[in-house]
Amino acid sequence: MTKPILEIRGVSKRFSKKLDIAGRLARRFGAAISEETVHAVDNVDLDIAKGEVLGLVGESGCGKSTLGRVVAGIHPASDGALLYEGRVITKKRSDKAATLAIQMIFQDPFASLNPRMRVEDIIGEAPRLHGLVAAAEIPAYVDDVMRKVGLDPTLKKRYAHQFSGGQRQRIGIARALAVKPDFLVCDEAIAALDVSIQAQVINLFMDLRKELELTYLFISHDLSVVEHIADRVAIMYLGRIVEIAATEEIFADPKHPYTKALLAEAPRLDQRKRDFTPVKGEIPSPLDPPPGCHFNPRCPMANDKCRAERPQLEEISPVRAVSCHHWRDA
Amino acid sequence: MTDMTAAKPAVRVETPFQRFRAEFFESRIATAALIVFSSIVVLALLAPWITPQNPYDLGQVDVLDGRLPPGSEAFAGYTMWLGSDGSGRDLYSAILYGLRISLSVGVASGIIALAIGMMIGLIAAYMGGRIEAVIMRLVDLQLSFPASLVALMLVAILGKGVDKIILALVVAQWAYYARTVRGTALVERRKEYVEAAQCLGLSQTQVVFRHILPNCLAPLIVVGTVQTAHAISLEATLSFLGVGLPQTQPSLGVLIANGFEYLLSGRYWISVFPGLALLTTVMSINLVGDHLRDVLNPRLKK
Repeated sequence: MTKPILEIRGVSKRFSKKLDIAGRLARRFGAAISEETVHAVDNVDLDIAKGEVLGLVGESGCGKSTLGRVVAGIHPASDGALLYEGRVITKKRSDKAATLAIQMIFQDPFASLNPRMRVEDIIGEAPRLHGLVAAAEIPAYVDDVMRKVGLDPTLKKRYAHQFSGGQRQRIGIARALAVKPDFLVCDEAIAALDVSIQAQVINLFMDLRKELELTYLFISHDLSVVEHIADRVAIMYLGRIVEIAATEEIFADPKHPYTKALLAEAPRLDQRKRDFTPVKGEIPSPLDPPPGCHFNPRCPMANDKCRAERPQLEEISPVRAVSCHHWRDA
Repeated sequence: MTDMTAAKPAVRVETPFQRFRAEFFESRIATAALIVFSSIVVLALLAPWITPQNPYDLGQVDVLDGRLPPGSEAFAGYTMWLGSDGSGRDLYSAILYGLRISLSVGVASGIIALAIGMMIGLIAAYMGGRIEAVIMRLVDLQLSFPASLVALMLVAILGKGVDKIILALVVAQWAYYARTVRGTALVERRKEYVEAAQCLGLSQTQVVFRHILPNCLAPLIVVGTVQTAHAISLEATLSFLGVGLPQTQPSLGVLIANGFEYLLSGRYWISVFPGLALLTTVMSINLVGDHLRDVLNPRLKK
């Protein structure tokens, strides 16, 4: 593996709800109320190599979007450090180069574009304010970026509401590309699109990757999409990475029981499965995660050790790691 | 139908403002109210050139003309179509000059209160935490008093005068704007386009003023219109009670108060005509404001 462009070192993100006056008073009088803390991301380590596409997969509420937002600098990490090209960028992002180098593509192509701005301003704003491009060259630059993502530059005077979902997503991509990033965090970037449009946008991502040597953190709940575009896949469950491996390996031979359950339930043409047995139980509340291995209440192989001791992410080959006490038995 | 036209942008680029204008003029009542209000503004602005008398110039006011019924001829030769008041002011002239004062007091206090309330509301929404709690409790406290009571107390302390009454109206009204802006800004700052702006490395001020504020303007315009009408009637109330503007600068409220003592003696015109002028002004602004709210609120869109 080449030198990583981004290293995530023990990053955690907690959201806590402070008690208000009424809550504090109630607690003083003996009510069983305490501050609620959600461990959205819990001590995650990840390396992402230059030019690779890392798929981050998990159920709703497992913290994958939060991890993406921490990487993109929208949320500060509660603990741990982010290293971009070896430099720490966790603290307030005064490092403008690193801030601009990591950009994010959002899920909702409607909410992610400012409804009161014209497309040319949406795309051209950041390069102009940061002085990346001379003011006189902004119109030509915007045209150029729009062509790059497959948008007609003659439409740049329009507002976002005048475009379709796929076109809006292209505007969002153009906005990110306008600051010349090296790294894109795609947070469910195609989940809100029609299937035919999804394919176009995925192809756009892949073309841009070749053309601009981009690295992607591709967050998705859709295994088929991830299998198609990712080089490596990390599976996340309740704030932790449970398994990480090259895409072919993880799809051919999953080690973690959760990965197995996920893959078994993905509808596939070649298997023509009729019966689906969903992973039993609900994802536990991140307010009150189970002790030990987070997956133990739903795991068919769970024993007392799983309920008591948190499994570490264990390297089982140079490019493969799994966090389970029983991966050898699987 | 509106959806159909929005779906074919290829024909014509429609800015949000053009769409807004088309929707606004769909309502006949609101269009009529806007026309009425604009004519009132034009008449008030043109007052020095279209009135026979300057009611502020004591040399032109003749006590002998006092309390003449509508249609009488003044000593100076012109006809007083709306009659005259107790001190001999031609009511038509006095009403137009009074409108100038009422409108400028209402609009000035509205704009200042909007600017102050907007800044405070934005600060509350963006800073959050203790600052927000303090500001919003202050707003609650302020709004728990009737605005007229707050203004009355302030004017009683400050004394008479246009500047003082504007100050009193600003203090009585900033809280409405602050609350509106904070509510909208809280919703807007959670949206993904704000996250995108942060991600693009924009500073906090740039995010607030370039992205959040423009998306908070619609409800502010609505509140601004309605509150301006409110400010005009509040000023009239204060002047009617005798604590607002002085006799030498008669606003509509002062004129109504002047005529009040003659009402029971059958000289209805001294109070009724300024009262009608006030009613028309406030109502036309309110009708425009109500329709603005309908047009600008996406939840009421067809």
